Amino acid sequence: MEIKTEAMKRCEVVTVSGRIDSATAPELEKVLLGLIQSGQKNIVVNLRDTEFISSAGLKALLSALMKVRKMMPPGDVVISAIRPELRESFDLVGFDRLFSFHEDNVHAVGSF
Amino acid sequence: MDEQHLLSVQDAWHLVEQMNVKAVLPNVPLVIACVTRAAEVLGICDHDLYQIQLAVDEACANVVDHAYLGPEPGEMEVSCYRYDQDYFIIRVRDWGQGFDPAKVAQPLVDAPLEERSLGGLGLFLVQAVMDRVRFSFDPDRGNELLMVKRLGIAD
Repeated sequence: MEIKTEAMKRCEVVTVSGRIDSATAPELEKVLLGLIQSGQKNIVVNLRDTEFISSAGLKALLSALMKVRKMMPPGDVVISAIRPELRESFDLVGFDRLFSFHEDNVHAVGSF
Repeated sequence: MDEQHLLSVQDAWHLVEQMNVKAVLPNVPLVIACVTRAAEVLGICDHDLYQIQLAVDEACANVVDHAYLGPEPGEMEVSCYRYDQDYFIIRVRDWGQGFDPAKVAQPLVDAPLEERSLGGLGLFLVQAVMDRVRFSFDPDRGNELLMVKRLGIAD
């Protein structure tokens, strides 16, 4: 799994490629936590090249969302370019109610 | 087919792959690769394979995180079986302490963010994507998680 981060004017874009499983999810969690702790509360997570996300990855995303939403004013974690198999998992655990999904970065970044 | 019947014909399960590894996180992808090989041999469709990988990742992560308390990691054995043309069975075994799945909180999947918590997502997903899930805990024979996937039509 590879993670790239890019600072935009109003948000940070985190691009994940490869597989987010129990072995790699801690790395994602660390990156997200690092961003939040350094004051970045608007985050786009681009999953275009993410082939798999396990419950550990889902948990990392939920944890990040919970943190930014507690801030004043609240931030957001939005999802960009998710593949159908991954979207199915998000829906199964009710994350479709919690996260906003955008087809690509242009729309995701533009939402902030 | 019900679970009781499937269990009663265990002798007719055909072992496709098996591996025994230390219960540490870096081994989880190896286990997933092993299960993937078994699934590919059987021609399991991509969608079912994805779900199987989800369940196996969670099952292994559980053993890694909870089964062994000491500083030395214990063992984890994963076996994949075919029964008939229709059933793919995965057994994850450990020899550590068991746990009570009934004590794991069910995630509130329809709740708003303020009412959500981080726990229980993995177990919930395993039960959602696998057709049968059975835990058994035996201090002598070891703990066992059996997961059954009724196979769909290949893509």
